[in-house]
Amino acid sequence: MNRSRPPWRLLALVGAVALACAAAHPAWAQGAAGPFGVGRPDAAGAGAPTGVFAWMAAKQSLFYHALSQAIRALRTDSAALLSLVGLSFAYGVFHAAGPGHGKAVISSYLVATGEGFRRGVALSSLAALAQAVTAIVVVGALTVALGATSVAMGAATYWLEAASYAAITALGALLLWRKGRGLARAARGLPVHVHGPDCAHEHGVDPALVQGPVDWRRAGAAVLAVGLRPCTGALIVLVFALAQGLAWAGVLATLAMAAGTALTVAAIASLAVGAKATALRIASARPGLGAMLLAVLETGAAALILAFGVVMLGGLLSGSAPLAG
Amino acid sequence: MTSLRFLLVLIGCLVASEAFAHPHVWVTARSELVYGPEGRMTAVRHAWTFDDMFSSFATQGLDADGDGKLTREELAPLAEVNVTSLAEFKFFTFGKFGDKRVVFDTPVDYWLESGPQGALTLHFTLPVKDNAPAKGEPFRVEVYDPTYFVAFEFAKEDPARIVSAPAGCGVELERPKAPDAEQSKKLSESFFSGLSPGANFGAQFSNTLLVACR
Repeated sequence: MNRSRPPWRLLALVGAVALACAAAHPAWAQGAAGPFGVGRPDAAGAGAPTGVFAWMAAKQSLFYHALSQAIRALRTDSAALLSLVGLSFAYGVFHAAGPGHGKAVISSYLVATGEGFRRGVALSSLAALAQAVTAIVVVGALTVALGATSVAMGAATYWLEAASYAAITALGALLLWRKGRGLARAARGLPVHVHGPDCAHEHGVDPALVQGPVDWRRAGAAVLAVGLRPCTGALIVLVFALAQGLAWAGVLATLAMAAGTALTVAAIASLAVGAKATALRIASARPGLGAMLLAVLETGAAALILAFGVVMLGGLLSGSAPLAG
Repeated sequence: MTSLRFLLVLIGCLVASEAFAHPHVWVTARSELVYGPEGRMTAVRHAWTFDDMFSSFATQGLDADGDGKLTREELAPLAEVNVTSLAEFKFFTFGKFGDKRVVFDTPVDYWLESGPQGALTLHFTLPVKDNAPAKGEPFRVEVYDPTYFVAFEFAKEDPARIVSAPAGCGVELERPKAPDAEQSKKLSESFFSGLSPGANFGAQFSNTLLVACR
């Protein structure tokens, strides 16, 4: 068994590359508190969108403005309910194209763990739902129960965000540790992993077709890591609806938004899963290459999660602390 | 290995999209450029009106006496937080002439006002600390958020004016190009060209106050 010693050097190398990428990220250079001290940006250091992202930003602006009209209209006209749900859903679809909705983490997680399409869709939906529930709980507990101000709410979401990024970092580190060992074994021509009782993933080369039993703890950790961070858009809509005396409309809009977000995240996650499967199918034509490529892809995806967590957590903590009360 | 390349592009795309913000706050701006007795700009006076959802969000819990109205006093702590937080973002106000930049001081005379339908307006004056353009020298003041968390648009009517300026000086507002039309065109050209966030794209959303004297 002495050949399965932890490959420290390789792990250190992959970790170092991930951290170097993280350190170069603009999030470090900029604070994370919002420009008005209330309502936090989705990601520290994010820039203006270009190309297709700008188009999506323009679309979601459109839906956002219509959304406020629909909530106002709902006070006198219950027919506005349908447009509220529709607009919220559309807003969610386009909104999720921006940062902070777990696309990168969920997609990388799926690639790293070898989960297939169906599970990818389930995980994306659960993560979006968790984000919606967090937003509803934050607004419910802080504003309804405690009468807190938006500044206090900003402070609360700051810590939720920090917890989310810390959890993502931990998840990335754990996956990198497991997958890195597999990569080191593959590099030495050994089977990628030792079959043990905790072996919870498929043994084929095509993750789209073969799925092992779900590692609920691991999947739950991924969902929670993403879902802990409430989306600023949802918080704003909830508080606005509350101020109009239509709290239930806010909850409904938030859930419809989550459905839209789930759709976008699931679509992107499925693309990632499909791309991985195709790459492996092509590689499997050459013996030995498939296993190696699988190990490289999974380790790379795990490193990406770690890098993402480190970037976001670092950017958040190095920025100015939230103003209390 | 086309699909591997595809995967790499996809990952790049994900990373890139995480680096792109989208607005959560819409501001309708009105600005005044205030001149001193020497004929040079001494301050920028802003009045920024927030969209109704953000206004409602920001004022949550501030109606201390519960009368449904927000007074200047009730809003004072929020105004304080606003201007303090804006410092890090350079107040989204960038004064330029030639290759020089106007240096602004911390804001004075700031307050919040709750208008019709609860729309919140932040008033603040940004004094010029250093590098004021010389008398008669053309300059420009740009108002925009490079991180695109805040979308700035100047008011349709009376968006900008100059106060106590020397005779013959005038200000003109240059609005940003409509991003939708511009971007849709780009979209069909190349999807992946959008992957380099390095360009100072935020400036494309810039509102520019151009000042020139005869």
